[in-house]
Amino acid sequence: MKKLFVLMRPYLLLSIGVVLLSATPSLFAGENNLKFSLFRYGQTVIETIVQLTKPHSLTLYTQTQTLAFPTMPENRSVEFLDQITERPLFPEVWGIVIYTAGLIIASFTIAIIMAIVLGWMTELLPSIFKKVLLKCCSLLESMPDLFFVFCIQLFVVWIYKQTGWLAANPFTSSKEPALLIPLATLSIVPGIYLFRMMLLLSETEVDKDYITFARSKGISKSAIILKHRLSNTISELSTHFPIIMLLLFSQMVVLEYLFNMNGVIQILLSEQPYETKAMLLLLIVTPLFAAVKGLQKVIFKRRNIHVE
Amino acid sequence: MLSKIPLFFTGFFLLLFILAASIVVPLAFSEPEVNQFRYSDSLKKLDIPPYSPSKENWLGTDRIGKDLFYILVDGAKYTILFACIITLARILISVILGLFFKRLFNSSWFSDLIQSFQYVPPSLIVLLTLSPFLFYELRNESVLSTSETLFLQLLVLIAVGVLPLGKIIAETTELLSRTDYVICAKLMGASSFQITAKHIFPHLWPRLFVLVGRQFAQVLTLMLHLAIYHLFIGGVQITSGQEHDQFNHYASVSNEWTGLISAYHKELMLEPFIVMVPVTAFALLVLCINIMTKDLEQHFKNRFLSK
Repeated sequence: MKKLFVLMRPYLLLSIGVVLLSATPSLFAGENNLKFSLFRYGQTVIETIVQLTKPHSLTLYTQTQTLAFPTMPENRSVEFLDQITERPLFPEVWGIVIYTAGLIIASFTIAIIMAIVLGWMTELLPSIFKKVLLKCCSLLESMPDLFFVFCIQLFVVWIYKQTGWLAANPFTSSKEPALLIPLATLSIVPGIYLFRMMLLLSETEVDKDYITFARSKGISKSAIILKHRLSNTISELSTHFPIIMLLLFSQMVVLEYLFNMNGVIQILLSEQPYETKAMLLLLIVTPLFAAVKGLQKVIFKRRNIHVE
Repeated sequence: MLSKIPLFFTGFFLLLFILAASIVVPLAFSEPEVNQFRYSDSLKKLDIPPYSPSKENWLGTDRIGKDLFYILVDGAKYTILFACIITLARILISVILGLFFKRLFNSSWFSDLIQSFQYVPPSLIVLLTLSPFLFYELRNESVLSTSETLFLQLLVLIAVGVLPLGKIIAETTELLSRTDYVICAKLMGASSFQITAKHIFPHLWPRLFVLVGRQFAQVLTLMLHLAIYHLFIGGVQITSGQEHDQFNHYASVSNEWTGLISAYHKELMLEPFIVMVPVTAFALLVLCINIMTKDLEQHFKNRFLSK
């Protein structure tokens, strides 16, 4: 029981933090103007937590705007009528949550695998290549992520214009969701980051004793890299996973707008009750947290066995 | 000093030059007039905006015919100054918090609570907080006045970075206060103020400089991400030429770069160069700051090693 509590405590505190964050508008919102009030904030937070314990009573607002024409004899002016309909949150939202969280986690996996494979391949190359690659990577990494997004979108459309072959649809249409290009754009920046980290970290590994020992035993270079250096670098790399997740999620926020995707962010930013927003945010954050912590745990466990 | 970190100073003077040019040029020259069309008698050639780069318009014009070079130069100061204010305020507040509440930041439950900043990106936090106040439709009015908008934006943008930064600073201070000389000073009866001022601060300084550089780049990226959702610093102007709302045009009040990128984004598939001009300028700015930071970091690392 106590072990479970220790295991769950970071997650519980994380969820409380998420609830605290999602209730922030009530810190400033007065009746008609800005009014700072800590008391109202506390009230909202407690209400939100109480509501969150009853997930089936949560609702989702949908705004619709309809164009209305008054009857003919009057002048032909148009009127916009705002309508808000309320629906239960579940199971409506599952598909959307899975789409967003799935994209993030898939590109997380792609970035890690790409970085490891590329890192292993560059280790086999002569060291001049490595230096040039490192310089290139740190240059690319300093670019804002939107630069890549625009370039990829332009590139896909350019190929389509030239050859008539659409590699993947660059925008979500009503028929099919965009999948491939968001995945590619999402995983590029974290991939570069991880790759550079791999190269830097494995550089510090070279001078360590076990490498010299392995080499003196006559183990071939590629075997040393694959078996010893790589696994040690990966465990060093795992401390950077939370940063990668943050990078991915913050890119996802922008990509959802740029690729016109039907994801969670647009629901979060529309007018919704606090508890719905908190619930949606929790649903997204939970798998990301689980992925990072789980992966770290697996890597550390393997490393401990190696040490023994 | 100058010869040891040449890249840092090159970047620094470049930024100062851009800032100065951006303040002086709009005062000295008025905005070039918009040409609705170009026509030459000899060639019988008719051309309408957007013009591609030429002698009159160095970087071309946008769809209305505004000179992109002039707009870029005019907007540079807003981008740099806003990012500067936010970064410095963040660092200042978080240094104070980190030093005073060192123990709170290092306690495990509080750092687990702050973890939410590690899993929810700052752009989303800012958008969640500000969207009820600042998002409005074409036919509605903004709830807040311009000064209120600016105040709220600055407040939220500063606040969102303070806690994670405070944690970094508290961790660094904790690490520094475990060193032998601090323990010695403590045993000899130095007050905690004296230890902070004499022993911890001199070592914290160089790290703070590097932190400022990193924060600056992060704030710029954050501003860009917010601008994509039409959340411009200083407020948004919404206009529409059509009867239906499909083609609303969102523009920032100033010619601020991130706002330009967002406003020109719909030209991406039509006239890519219009959006690529501010994007390239912005990318170069971020690149410049990152190179400066890296140079500074390398310098401090070398100095530390040589000691």
